[in-house]
Amino acid sequence: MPGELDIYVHRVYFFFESGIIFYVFVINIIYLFLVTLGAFALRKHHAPFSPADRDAIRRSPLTPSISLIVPSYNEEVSVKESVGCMLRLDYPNYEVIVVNDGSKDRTLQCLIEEFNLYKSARSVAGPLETKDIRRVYESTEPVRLVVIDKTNGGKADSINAGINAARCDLVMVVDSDSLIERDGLFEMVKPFLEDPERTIAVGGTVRAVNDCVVRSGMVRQIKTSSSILANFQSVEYLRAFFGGRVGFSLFNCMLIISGAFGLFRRDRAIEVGGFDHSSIGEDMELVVRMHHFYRDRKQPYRIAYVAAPVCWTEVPQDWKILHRQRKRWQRGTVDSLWRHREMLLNPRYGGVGMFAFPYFVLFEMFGPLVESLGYALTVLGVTFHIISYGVAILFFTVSIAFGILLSTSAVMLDEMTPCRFPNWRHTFTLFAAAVLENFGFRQVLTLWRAQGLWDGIRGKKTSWGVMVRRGFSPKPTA
Amino acid sequence: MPKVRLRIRITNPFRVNFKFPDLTPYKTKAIDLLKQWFLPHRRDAMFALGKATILLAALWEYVWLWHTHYYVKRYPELPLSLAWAMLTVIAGITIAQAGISVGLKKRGARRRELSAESKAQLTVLLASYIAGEKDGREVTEAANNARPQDFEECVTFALIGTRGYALERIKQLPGVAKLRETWTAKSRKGGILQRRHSVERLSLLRDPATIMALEVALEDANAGVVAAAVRGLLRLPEYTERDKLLASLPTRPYLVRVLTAGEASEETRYVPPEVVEPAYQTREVCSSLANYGSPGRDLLHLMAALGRAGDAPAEALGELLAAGARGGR
Repeated sequence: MPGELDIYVHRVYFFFESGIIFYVFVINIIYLFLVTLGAFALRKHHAPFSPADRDAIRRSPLTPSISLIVPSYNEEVSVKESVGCMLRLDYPNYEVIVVNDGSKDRTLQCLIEEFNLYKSARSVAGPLETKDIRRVYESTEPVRLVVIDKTNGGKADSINAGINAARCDLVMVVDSDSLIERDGLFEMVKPFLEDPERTIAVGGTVRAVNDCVVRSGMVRQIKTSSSILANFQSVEYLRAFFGGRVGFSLFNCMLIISGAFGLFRRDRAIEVGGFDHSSIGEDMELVVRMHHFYRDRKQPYRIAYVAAPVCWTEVPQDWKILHRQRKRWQRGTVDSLWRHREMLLNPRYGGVGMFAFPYFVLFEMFGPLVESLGYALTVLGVTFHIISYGVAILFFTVSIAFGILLSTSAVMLDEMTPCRFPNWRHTFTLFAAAVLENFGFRQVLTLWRAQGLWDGIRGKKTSWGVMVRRGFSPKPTA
Repeated sequence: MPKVRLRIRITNPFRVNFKFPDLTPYKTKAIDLLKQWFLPHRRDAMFALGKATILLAALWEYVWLWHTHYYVKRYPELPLSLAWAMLTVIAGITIAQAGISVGLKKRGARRRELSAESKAQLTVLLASYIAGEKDGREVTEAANNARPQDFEECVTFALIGTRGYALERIKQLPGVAKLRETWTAKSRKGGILQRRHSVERLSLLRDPATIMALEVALEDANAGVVAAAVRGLLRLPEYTERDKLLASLPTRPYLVRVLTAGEASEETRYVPPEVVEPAYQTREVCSSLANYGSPGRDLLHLMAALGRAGDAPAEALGELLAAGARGGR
C-alpha cells in the first residue's frame, strides 16, 4: 500500500508541476510577444509634432482645451512644485484644477500662499455626485488655476469634483507628486486630433523620477537612482509600458490607463458615470467600464496609448510603502475584473472580452498565486526527492532567464524613445537592475501580489496609506 | 446489339429533405470582419503582429536547432534538452542586447559631439555668407566635408528665421538647390517622419519651384504630411489654386484642419516682403535690438516673419548667430 500511495502522490505532483511549467511557459511567451509587438509599434509612437506643427497648434482655434485635474491629499511637500510645473506647460489652452481632498496638513495654505489665490464664485456643480465642496479658489495667473477645497472622499471623489468643475473639452488626471514634461500635452492630445470621433481616452508613459535632476519643476537630467529598489521599479515601469500597453493599445484592448497620467474626453467620462468611489483601482475600473459601456452599445471608440509624453513620478524607496502599494494595485485589479466579469470570454466584447480580459484574469490576477504555488511545489519536490536538484534548478533558471530577457528587452526598447538615459553608465545600471530584479525582488512582489489577491477575494478594505514624499528639490549639499 | 442505358438514381437513404444552408449572410459577415481588420488604423496592428510572429518563430527555430544539434545528445529527455536550448538562446540575446545598447549609446554620444562641432562651423559660414562676408564656394566646400544631415539642419534652421534678401541669398547657394531636389524626392517615399520633414523643409523654402512637389504631397496618406503641404502652399503668393485649396480644407481630416487653421484664416494671409536693400538706420536699429537679449531677438524674429524692415532683422539675427558660434554674445 505505501508503494501505491507513493505512486499516486508522484502522479498528482507531476500533474500540478507540469501544469505550472506549462503556465509559466505560456505567460512568458505572451509577455515576449507583447514586448516584440512593442518593438515594432514603438517607432510609430515617436513621430512627434515638429516645431512648425506645434506653432500651428498654438495658433489654431480648433485645438481642444484641457483641464488638468490634480487630486491632492496631504501633499504639502511636493504640491507647490508640481502645480508650478503644470502652470508652465507648453500648451495654448488649458487650466489646472487642484482638488484638496480634506488634507490634514498645510496643502491648501501652501497653494493659497504660493499662487495668490482668491475666493471664487465659480460654480463647480455638475452631473457627478461628490462630497461637499467647502470653497473654491482661483488665481490671477495667465494660466487659470482653480483650487477646490472639499470634504475628504477619496481619490475618485476628488477627480469627479474636478471633472464637474472642468470647463474644457478634455480632462487629464495627474497625480500631485508627478511632473509632466513641458511639451507633453501636445503628444497626449495627438490621438484626439487624429481620430476625434472615436478617441475617448489616452494614456501616457509614467517613469521613475527618483534621483533625476529636477529644476524649476522640470526634469533636467535623466539619471538612474542610487536606490536599487527604485531602479528595479524603473525597469518594471519600462516593461509594463513599452511591452504590455503598446501591444494592447494596438488592438484597442488596453484595460488600464495609469491614474497618474491619463487624458479623457470630458463628455464621455461623464456619460459612463465618472470614477467609481467604491473602487480601489479606480483608474483601471473606469477604463474597463468604458470598454463595457461602449461595446454594449456597439458604439465605435478608441482607447489609445502614446509612449512619447512622459510623466515623471516618485516611486517608493521603502519596502513597507512598496508592499502596501502593490497589495493595493492587486486588489484594484481583482476588484475591477470582478465588477465586469460579464465580459470574460464573451464574444460580444470582441478582443477585450476574448483576449485582454482572460489575459488579465489568468495572468495578472491569478499569476502570483500560480507562481507562488510553483515555487512551493518545487521546494517540496526537492525536499521529498520527487524531483532532482538539477531539474529543479534548471527549470527555475529558465523561468528566471525569461524574466531577464523581458526586462532587458524593455530597457532596449527605451533606447528607441527620446526620453532615454543619456549616459551609457546609466543604461548599464539599468541592465544590471534588469538582471538582478529577478533574484529576489520579483519573487517578493509575487508574494505581495498573492497577498493582495487573497485580500481581494476576502473583500478586505484597504486604505490609501501614507506615501512618504521626498520632494523634487535637490538635496542640500554639506 | 441493343444499347443498354444504365440509369443510376441517387436517392436519399434517410428520406430527409436536406437543403444546403444559405451561407451568404455568414460569408458577408466574414468578409466584413476581414475588411475591418484591414482598415487603416488596424492595418498597422496587423503588420506589427505579423512581424512579431515571424521574429518569435525565427527565435524558436534557433532554439530548436540548439536542441536537435547539440543538447539532445547530452540530455535525451526532451524537456531538459529544450530548457537548455532556451537558456542558451536567451543568454545570447540578453548579452547582445546589453552590448548593442551600450555600444549604440557610446557611438551616439561621439556622433553628437562631432555633429555639434560641424554644425557650429557651418552656421558661422552660412551667417557670414548671408551678411555678404563670404562667398558661396566656401559654404559649399564646408558642406561637402560635413555630414549631409548637418548641412540640412543648418539650412533648415536658417530658413526658419530668414526672409527677404537673406532668404534669397540662401536659395542662391548651389547646395540648397541640391537639397530642394533631395527633399522633393524624399517627400514621396520613405517613412512618415521622413516625408513630413521633407515637405516641411520644402515649404520653408517659399519657392514657386516647389509647388508641384507640395501639390503631390497633398495626396499623402498621412495627415501630418498633408498639413505641412497645405501650409507650404498657402505661404506661396505664386500659388494660383489657393482658394480651391481653402475650400477643400473642411473635407480634410481634423488634424489637417487644426494644423492649418492659422494659415487658412484671412487675417494671416501671407504678404510677401519686398526685397529691398535696408537703409543704414534700419540696420542700426536691428543691431541694437539684437543686443537687447532674448526680448530683442524675439522682436527681430517677429519682424523677419512679418517681412518688416526688409532683410535687416534677418541680417541682424544672422550676425548674432555668427557671434554666438564664435563664442561672442
